[in-house]
Amino acid sequence: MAYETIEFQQLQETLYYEKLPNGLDVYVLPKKGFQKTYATLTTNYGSIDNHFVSLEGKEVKVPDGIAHFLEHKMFEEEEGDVFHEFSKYGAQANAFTSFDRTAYLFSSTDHVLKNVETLLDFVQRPYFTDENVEKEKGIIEQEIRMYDDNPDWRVYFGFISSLYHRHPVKIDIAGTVESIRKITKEMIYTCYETFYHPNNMLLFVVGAVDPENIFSVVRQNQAQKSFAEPKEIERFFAEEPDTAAQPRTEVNLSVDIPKCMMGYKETKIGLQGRDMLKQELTTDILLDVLTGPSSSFYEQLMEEGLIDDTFGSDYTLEARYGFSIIGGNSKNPDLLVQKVQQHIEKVKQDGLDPQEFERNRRKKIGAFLTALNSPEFIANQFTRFQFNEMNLFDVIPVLEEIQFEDVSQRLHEHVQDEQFAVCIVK
Amino acid sequence: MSDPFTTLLINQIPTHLLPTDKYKTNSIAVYIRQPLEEEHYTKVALIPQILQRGTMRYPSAQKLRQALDDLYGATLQTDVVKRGEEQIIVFRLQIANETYLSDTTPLFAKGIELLSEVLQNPLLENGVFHSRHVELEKDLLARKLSQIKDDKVRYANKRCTEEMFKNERYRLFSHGSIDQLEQLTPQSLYDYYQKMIRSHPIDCFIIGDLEQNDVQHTLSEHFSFPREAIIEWPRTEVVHEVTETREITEKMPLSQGKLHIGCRTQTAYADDDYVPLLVFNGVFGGFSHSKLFRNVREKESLAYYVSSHIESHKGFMMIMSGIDVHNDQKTVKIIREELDKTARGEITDDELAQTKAMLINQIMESNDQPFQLMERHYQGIVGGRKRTSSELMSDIRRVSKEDVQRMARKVQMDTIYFLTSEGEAR
Repeated sequence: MAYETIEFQQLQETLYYEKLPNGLDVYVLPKKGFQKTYATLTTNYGSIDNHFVSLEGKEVKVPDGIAHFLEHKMFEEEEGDVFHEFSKYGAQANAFTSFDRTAYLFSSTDHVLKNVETLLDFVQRPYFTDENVEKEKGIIEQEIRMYDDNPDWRVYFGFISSLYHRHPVKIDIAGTVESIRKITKEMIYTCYETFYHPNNMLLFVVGAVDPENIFSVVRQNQAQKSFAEPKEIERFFAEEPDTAAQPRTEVNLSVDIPKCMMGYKETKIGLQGRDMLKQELTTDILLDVLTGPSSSFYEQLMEEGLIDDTFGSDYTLEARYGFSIIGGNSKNPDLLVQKVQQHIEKVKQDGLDPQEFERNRRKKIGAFLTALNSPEFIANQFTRFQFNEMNLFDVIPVLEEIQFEDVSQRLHEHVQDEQFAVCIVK
Repeated sequence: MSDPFTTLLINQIPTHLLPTDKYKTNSIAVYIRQPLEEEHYTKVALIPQILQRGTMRYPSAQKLRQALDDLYGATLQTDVVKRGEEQIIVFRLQIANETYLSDTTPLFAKGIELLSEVLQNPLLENGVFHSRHVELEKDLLARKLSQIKDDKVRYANKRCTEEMFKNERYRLFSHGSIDQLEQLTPQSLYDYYQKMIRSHPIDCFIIGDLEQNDVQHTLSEHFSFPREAIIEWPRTEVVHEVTETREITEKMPLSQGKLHIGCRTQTAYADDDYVPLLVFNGVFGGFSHSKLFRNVREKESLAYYVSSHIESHKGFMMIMSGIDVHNDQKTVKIIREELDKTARGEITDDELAQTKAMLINQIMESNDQPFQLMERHYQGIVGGRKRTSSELMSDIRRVSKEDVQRMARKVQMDTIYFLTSEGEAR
């Protein structure tokens, strides 16, 4: 028995962890009474990693959308489509690519050990050919066109590209119809070899499982495979100014009701661990106090007919970038932007309401407990947290330790006019 | 597994209780059934929104949300859905189980009290709904309905349904229509609401770490609707022979065409054929191992998504795909061929086995999600036939290739709807 046991008493959860000799991190969280098991195998590699030193030691720049393209192609095996292998054992398989991660996953209520092996095997057995890469282009082109017609997606990306001058977070995860045409089998292999080393990956299994059984299957499976010596991956990111690249962007999609997203670029980045967690949660609370559904400001905007229930806020924080977003659908986006800016400016002068802070902190604690009912949330968030040296199970203690002053300080630190941008889809 | 819920009759409301310590929250749902009627369907869509706008004790939406936040971020959501030719209102309350909090004040009773306040004590003005709240919600609903056009898949789905069922009540959209909004008054809305809570079927579901006695006590204290005899209404009409397949094309600026094909299955939830129909749908289009996905996407690279879905109560199946604006004929031809092949019995052992494994897995997985579990149980109430998960699973296992073939022969394409671009795609 080589694994560690980590107990979270108040939440009544026990987490099991082992790092395998090849570097793979394996976490298992048994959920009492659950029938389903959910497993994710995630690489610390996403759409922003487009400039790096390859395993062979060459500096390379790759076309936009390649991480996502690679994710699609992973499912193809020499013997056919790996979905069928999962279906046979009643498992629903899927994958997603984000800015920072690529995750492969399945959920099933039976044959869990077999499915875990299938998951490890297909992700660790690349099969890319000129022909299958070419064939995928038509499918991904339709995926890109589907997002082109989606105004919510367009306003989200429009907003991010207004904020950033150069950082690759401004590039659409799937790339463009033109950029994916340049992708070749060789480029995909280069990305695969660089980023899919077990040392850069994490397996999380949550649900109806016995930890010992999972560890023993994973150990055996990994021991049969050989990998190159792990290497520190060198990634390059262009220098990004603190200011927003373009304060205002408009996209014309002839929508019935315009969509509007605004927010601030985070300049306090480069954090990891508990500091990062605290900044993330503090900013979440701040945004809720400022414009959340229980605020007087939200009620006022609703009364004035400027917003509907799509209006909300969100905060994204990663190691190398971060931003807040406020917005939704509005008949009069320009007036909405003006009101939001005036309101925030006024709060900066008058100060936040301590009672609102307490209420929103409480709300976040409850929301986190609700989220723990979901194995999907646990696995995906835990992985994201771990890649940033944070611990998901610290969320409640950190929420309990955040002080009113922390939120006030965050308001003055995060909300700066030069970091503000807005995107409107009309 | 026998029926997981125990049904109690509390103040004449059937209350389905499932005690379990699986979750970190307690979940409560209240379902109210209405016949789907031209005269009332927009009222039904609007009423839950008005109820959430304010109560006598919490006279604004803000006050109500703050009360929820104070209960550790309890969430109250409402939904209006169509089940066959019925329109159902659902209230869903989720509230933290205090066992997992530092503050252990009991929350369940407070949650029930709040839900009862929303349902039984709406904010009134001159004995009817508050006029300002009604105006506000009418405006919000009008905007929500008009921007369905901005979500192309949703719009195509709505339009295909309206065309296919133009002479049946099922054409009516679950969220009402803009044309009817104007004539609705606080009085007419309140009168209909009174009728609903007096004489329409109401069911309550509760899942959580709770004792039956406590639930009984709390509910009898807080839920006291002025119940009268339950109204009679026409059942959903299921059987409808197709004489010819209609083709409808609509144009608007877009970059991807949306193909929606409405089919008649002549089969509803209470029929013995319902389970074979589920298996047919899985073989044909429900999963990523299905014929549609394999042929339209994997083989021909025509689409990113292509799938079919069963509506359980109306005898209706919808096929959906996002394709290049020039590929509609080609795609329809392939879809038709796959349906014909299934009708000729070209079904492999693998297809059948994978489908059964996936369907069984879906049922097992839904047992881990409190609101899904309620939804499945309620499906039996609306459908007029009780099926426990174990019955459903053993019926699935018994389905033969011949059964699937028989279902494919029963399924007829009724309406082919294509949403495409004016001229070239944008």
